[in-house]
Amino acid sequence: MNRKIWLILSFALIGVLSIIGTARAHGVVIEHRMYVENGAVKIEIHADFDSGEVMSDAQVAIFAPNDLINPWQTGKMDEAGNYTFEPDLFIPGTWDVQVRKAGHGDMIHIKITGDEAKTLGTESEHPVTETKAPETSSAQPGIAVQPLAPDTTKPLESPGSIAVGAGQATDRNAPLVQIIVNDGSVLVSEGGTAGTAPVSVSAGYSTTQIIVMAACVIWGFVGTALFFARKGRN
Amino acid sequence: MHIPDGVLPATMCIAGYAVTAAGTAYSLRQIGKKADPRESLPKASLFTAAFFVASWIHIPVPPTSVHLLLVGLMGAVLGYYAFPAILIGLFFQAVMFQHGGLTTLGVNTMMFGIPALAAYQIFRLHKAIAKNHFQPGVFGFFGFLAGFLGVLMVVLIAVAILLPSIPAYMDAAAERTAILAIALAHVPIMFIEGFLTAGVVTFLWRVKPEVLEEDVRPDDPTPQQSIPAVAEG
Repeated sequence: MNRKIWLILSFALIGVLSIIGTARAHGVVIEHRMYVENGAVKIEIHADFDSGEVMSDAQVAIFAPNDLINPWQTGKMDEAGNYTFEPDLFIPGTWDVQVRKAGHGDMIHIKITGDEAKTLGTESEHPVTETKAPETSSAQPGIAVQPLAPDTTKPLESPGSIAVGAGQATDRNAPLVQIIVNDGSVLVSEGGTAGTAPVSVSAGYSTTQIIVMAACVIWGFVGTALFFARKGRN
Repeated sequence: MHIPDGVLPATMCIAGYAVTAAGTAYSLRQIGKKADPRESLPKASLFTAAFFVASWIHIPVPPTSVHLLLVGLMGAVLGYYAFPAILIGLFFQAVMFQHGGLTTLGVNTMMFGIPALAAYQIFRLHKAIAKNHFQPGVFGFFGFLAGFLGVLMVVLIAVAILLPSIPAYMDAAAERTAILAIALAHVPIMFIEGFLTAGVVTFLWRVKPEVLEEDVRPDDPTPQQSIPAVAEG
């Protein structure tokens, strides 16, 4: 009986701990968005620890597809955890962007086809005057739609969630096609123009998914404990 | 302090796996010497679950935040079971939530597992002083030492791994400063885990002493034989 009580108490404690901490997994969330400014395609990176803390002054290394050893460009994020670069559209393929600070970091992969200027449009061709999110994406599990300002520092609601939206930059007057990438998942901007941002499939997890996954793992441990406790009694 | 994929060079990842393999083999061999190695599996499994969720509990240490490690507690309570338990816990953290990584699983296990085994040896020193008599002060003190030094060792190992592995293309001075800053941010965690470990082991000793590894029971000169009988009650 004592053993039962001990196991139940442990399970309860673990459950409480899970509830406290579920939304605070440790890691790095990197977002990126591609936009056109003055006819040039630019990519803005934003990184947070998924505890919500901005990765200010984190170091950025960008690797072009034709050289994965030596970085094509290096730099440092600003205080708000943002970094902007202008990819060379004559080097199509998957560009790797690594963000690192104090041994923590992650890498995202951005596909560049070379046609971004055409598909994203230009400011004059696709003016956008209000923030608009794709209607269909809100119904998709694991996808959270939220309007995004280009200089936003707001962390995602949950690790692994994904946000897709379109709007107008408040400080650039540039049409946006925003794709947020989490946990290294890759989202490709295909044919998106301002106001009709592509809805991408998410490889990230919603909070509910994380809770369920964590509960499954914890139950696996507790079940193992119960199994061997029973074997011990027999 | 979990090191993610892509941060360390391949040679270091391979070396980490080699050390982890050796540590796991050593631990399993020690576990195999017990009269009933399966007896402690329920305890090990439950503490693995606690270790699994501990990394989600962030404690704000301005300007950053750090999370619990629990290596001292794992070592003090689980003994040699701590090393494989940490390996399993880290594996699930990596595959489920990208916390750490699969290429760095060996390095991370080594970084947590060795301090856990050291914490176990530190905690056992209480026997030398208390002679198996329950003295809460002595017991709590060595529990605190296990928790405190466990985190300290993890931080030192992490710094020793990260500092030499800064890529040439990075601003080494800035990265070094950031690494040292996050190491310093763990000082409060050392005290928190010290007190936590002291509290938990003292509590366990009072309510269910057989949970605490092997042979130590109050006023029992031959405790190894007595444990199964008590556990049945």
